[in-house]
Amino acid sequence: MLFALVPSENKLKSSNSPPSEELIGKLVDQYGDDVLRLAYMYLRDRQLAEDAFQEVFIKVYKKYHTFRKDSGEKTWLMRITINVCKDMLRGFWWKRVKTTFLPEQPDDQGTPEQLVTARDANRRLWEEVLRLPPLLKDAVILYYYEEMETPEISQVLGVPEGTVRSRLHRARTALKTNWKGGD
Amino acid sequence: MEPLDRFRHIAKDQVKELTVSPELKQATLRRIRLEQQKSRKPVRWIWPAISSSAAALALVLVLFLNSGAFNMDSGSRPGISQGIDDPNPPNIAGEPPDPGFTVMNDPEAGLFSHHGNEADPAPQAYVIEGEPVPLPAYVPAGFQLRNAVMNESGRRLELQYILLEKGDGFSLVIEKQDQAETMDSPVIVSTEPLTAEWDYGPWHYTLTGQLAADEANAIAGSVVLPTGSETK
Repeated sequence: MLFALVPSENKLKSSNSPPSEELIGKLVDQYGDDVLRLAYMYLRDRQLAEDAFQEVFIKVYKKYHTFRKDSGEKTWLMRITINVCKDMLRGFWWKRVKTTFLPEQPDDQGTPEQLVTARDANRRLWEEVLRLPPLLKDAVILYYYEEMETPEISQVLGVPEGTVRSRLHRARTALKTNWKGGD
Repeated sequence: MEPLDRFRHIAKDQVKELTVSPELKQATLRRIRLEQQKSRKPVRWIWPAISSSAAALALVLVLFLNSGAFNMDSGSRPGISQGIDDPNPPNIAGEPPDPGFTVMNDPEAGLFSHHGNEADPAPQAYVIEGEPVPLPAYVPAGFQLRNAVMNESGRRLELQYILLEKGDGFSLVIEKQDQAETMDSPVIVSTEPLTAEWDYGPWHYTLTGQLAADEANAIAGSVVLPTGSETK
């Protein structure tokens, strides 16, 4: 099966020449926030997420000629981001990254006790999800946070759609078992 | 609300303040410029090396082709990718076609499509990426394999079974994965129609159709490698 190198919507001059700085700048403007936020979901540290962000776009610069238009640019970027984060996490196995649960906006509804309880429940759920096994966490983040459909997740992760569905199912089951936060 | 639906809101709330600062963008673009400078330097001397290498390669190729050593006979290569223009391709295990099957070329169905006759023999061996596909040894009474379709990528096989008296049926999709999963027990992901999924080493199975859950479990539990094969 042949994959044709097709110029993206950002109009490369030729499929084998590296992208221009201007093109990378446009990609940063268009997808930068998504890349940074996805990196944060994995690395749970802003500084590390920004390091990953730079690595992602360096890879984008180096590998743009391999980009196939059968997936969208965002799908491709998400895949690179996940791989960069996983590489970084492998290198940081000795470092315990404490999850920072950022302060939420004050909510006028409910008593102070109710607000504290709700906040604690949210924090615990956040931590439980980020503690899921990597294969399940990938699917959960892309489906629930990025709101991708399973065919797109399948392209990002490079696994069949059936595998994506089964991982989501297992994640839901695992959370029901592990998280008994109030509903 | 399901926990993960709540997670969606929590996650969005957590990261909404996280945006790319102008400093981060400039730092990234600076690094891109450095990469550009690195990649430009060898241009002057590399072209003569590339052109002489290309000429040498072309000469070797011409000599090789003229020697007759390269045999284009595709019939000697078993595999799923051949036979699309051949009205009677060999089956994908490389053996002569079974006279019990009518082989049809259906571009919409995939690279090959086998439609069984009334009295179907047992399913043949199927191969994906050089590996024999583990198949269920058990099929509920009365069901017969009627159709086997491989998709264009050659990594997804769909077997369609039918109960002749009633017209009920089910499909079993088998996909090759890059890494082995650990879902050994079938998981019922929906009941209308019944959909069950499980893994067997690097193979992912999705069964959909008019079956009871215990029959789906029995099918899943009977998956074995073809005789004489070994699991990786």
